Amino acid sequence: MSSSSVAQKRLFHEYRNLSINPPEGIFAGPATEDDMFNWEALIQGPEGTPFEGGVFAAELKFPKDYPLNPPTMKFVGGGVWHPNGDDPNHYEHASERWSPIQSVEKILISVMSMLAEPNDESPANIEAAKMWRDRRNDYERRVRDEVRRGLGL
Amino acid sequence: MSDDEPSINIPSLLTLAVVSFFVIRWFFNRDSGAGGSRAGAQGRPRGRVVDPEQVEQISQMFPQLNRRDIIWDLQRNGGSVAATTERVLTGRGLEVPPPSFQPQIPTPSTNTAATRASASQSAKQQAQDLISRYNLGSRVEDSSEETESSQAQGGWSQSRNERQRLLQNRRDEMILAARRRLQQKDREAAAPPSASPS
Amino acid sequence: MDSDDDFMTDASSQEDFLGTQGSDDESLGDDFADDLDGGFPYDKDIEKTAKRPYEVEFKILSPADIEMEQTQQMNEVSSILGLPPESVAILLRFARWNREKLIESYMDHPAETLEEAGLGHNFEGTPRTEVVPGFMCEICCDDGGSLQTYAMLCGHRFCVECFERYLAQKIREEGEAARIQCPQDNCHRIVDSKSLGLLVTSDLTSRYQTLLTRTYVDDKENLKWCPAPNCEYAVDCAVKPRDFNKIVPTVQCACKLSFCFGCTMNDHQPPPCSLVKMWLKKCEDDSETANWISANTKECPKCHSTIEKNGGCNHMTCRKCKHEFCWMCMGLWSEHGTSWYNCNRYEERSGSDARDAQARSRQSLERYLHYYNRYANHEQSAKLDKDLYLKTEKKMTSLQSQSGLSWIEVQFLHTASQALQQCRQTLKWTYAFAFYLSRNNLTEIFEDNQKDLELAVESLSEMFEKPVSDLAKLKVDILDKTSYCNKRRVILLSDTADNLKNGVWSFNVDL
Repeated sequence: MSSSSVAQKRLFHEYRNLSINPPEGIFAGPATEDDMFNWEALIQGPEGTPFEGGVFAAELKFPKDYPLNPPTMKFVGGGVWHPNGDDPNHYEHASERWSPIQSVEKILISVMSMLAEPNDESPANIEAAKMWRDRRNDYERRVRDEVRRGLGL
Repeated sequence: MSDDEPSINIPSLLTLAVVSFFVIRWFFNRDSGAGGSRAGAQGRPRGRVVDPEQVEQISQMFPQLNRRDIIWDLQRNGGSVAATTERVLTGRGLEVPPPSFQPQIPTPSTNTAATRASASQSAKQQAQDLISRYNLGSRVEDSSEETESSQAQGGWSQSRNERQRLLQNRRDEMILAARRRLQQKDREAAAPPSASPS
Repeated sequence: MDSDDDFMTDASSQEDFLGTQGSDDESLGDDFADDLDGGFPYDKDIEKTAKRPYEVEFKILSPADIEMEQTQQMNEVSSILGLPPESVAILLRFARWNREKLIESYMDHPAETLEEAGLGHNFEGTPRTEVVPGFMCEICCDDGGSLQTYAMLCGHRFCVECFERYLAQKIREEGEAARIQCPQDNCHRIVDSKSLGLLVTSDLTSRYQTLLTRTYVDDKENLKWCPAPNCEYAVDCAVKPRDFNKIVPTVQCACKLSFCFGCTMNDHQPPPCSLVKMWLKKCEDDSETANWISANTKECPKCHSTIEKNGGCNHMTCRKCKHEFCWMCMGLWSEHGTSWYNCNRYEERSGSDARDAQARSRQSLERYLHYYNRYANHEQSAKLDKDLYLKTEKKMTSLQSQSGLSWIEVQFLHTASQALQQCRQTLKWTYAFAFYLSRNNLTEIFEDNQKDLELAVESLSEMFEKPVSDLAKLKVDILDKTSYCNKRRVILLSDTADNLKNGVWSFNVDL
């Protein structure tokens, strides 16, 4: 089996699992079944955080040799206001290295938990990190505004 | 009146000017290559579309002129800006087109406005919201919470189109439901909380 | 382990005795060996050919030798600990080949040691692939009935193809070999070489071995790769890094390259590696420019901006602060135009501090330049000598035809050229060495030796440039000169090395 057919098979499998048994607050699937390597995902803001009630869209791009190498992820629609920035690829802790066993589901869940608890060790969005650290109220207000804007309100 | 100085003979100079003017004009008309200029009012619109840019050009040079007149003249001389200009400059003025002549006056000003609008729109596209991204605008007003049930927890079908449809459905539902919840919260917050401890 | 080394060095010292450039050893100067008084052998309790004080013992190892060494150690430890060799390999690599520490740690707390190294607790069974009905590989989601699968002792099972792809990526693209973990999430079990052999193709296995060898050499302090571009050999030298200030370990690889084991640069006897680094840095630095500036320019007494005199008049006006002063004594100009003019007289004036500092930096600049010029000159001459060597080839052939000498007889030119190059290199580094010496009696002796060598090299070089017709006549002279140069060089090096070892030199910097 060539590596891209492995990727196809595996991606299809994941797609199927996510459709039959979607985890709470997570939606993911290919934009069109013609191209299994570009997915769209939606993440609900976790409860109990200022992201609550919001929905955030991201695009996932899978490499041809998936699952040997991880997909790249990017928030779309204006990004999120978060100390770790717009690029969830940098969200993982140093200990969580990629392995072929990891899945889209796991990635999205960990991004969701990162929204809830920013990792302030290496912030990618300095302004957001400062706001989160020093003016928590302003941070929360801004996040809530973003949530509303994202939903068209 | 006839002086001894033969150097400047005003009448002959005038004659010379008039004659040369006619000659030049005749040359221009010939160059434009349109046959209809000789007969003057041989207005054969011939369905010729006048270039709006030319109209614009002339209009800018002579803002006092009526566009309709400009179009009429341009049509007659075959789209020659030079000829029309010449005509205006001689002071003769443009011909008044017959009442039946009603061209559609193009307004080139609208073009620039359109481009300006689209430029700002693409800038805003970066900060697009989910509703416009997935074209849910029409479904937003539909506040009847009907499709709750078809939130297809576990929709899978053998047919590809069906699957894609289900997928899109779930996606749209997620967004719309979230929006609805937010609106609900707004309503509760707006309505004076009449001490509902719940 | 010691005895092993001794045994081996016996054999190799023989070969390097024969293999080194002829100039040092047998081909010339039979009076040479008798004269050699200054060379005390390092370790008196081993009977072998006398080593000069500036030479160190070393071994040359090929990749096959290195693998053999590794296997040997693995088997040893395996019998002590009672574990299979491939697991021991993982343990050893984890412990960076420190056997004693590993054994100790294993005896004290075996479970933790295994855990940290990435091994489980069970070691029985030979690895093999099997077909498990109804199994679906999590990586590729394949569940064909005849799918070959494999699981390491940690129990995580995947299909053989996925394993191979995973290992291929790790080895080829990431260059990882010693610490490839199981593909499963959070499983730290290291893939051992037996499993690997089972799962991948043979060229991948050989690349794996090469990578392992590389980590072995990197981990071991006494091994270093030969810096020659395509050379595969490594050198084993027992000199410890803490001794690098006392000994300059020059070694020679099988590919004929001589290099310093301490810093893997070219041979730089006599100064030790730290001095060499300092010297090279100084040559590249701009600090000498700063020195030049302070030596050749003066600072305005008021605003301290640097000023260079560009006209004959001594009346300077600082462009920045408009302060007017006399270039000679740095005093106020207003005093000069009057009858208080004192500039020609020697007197302690307000500018004396400035002058002192300037004199100091000018001095140090001059001192540095003295040594640097000679260093650079020798470096340059060495390059020219290389060209000269090529010309020598032609000379030799023309000499053959002209004077009727045979090829062997004409080889003396080649030997002389080699000796010249080597002596120039040594001389070059003696200047760098002398720059850092503080003045005392030993320095005098050193500089005497240096002078002798310089003279010898100059006269040899001069002889070399003579026209071809004279060369045949000068053959005996050239031979004598060559051996004399070599002798002086050896004396210089031995002397320096002895003193260095005994810590007798006093430097004007800290090593």
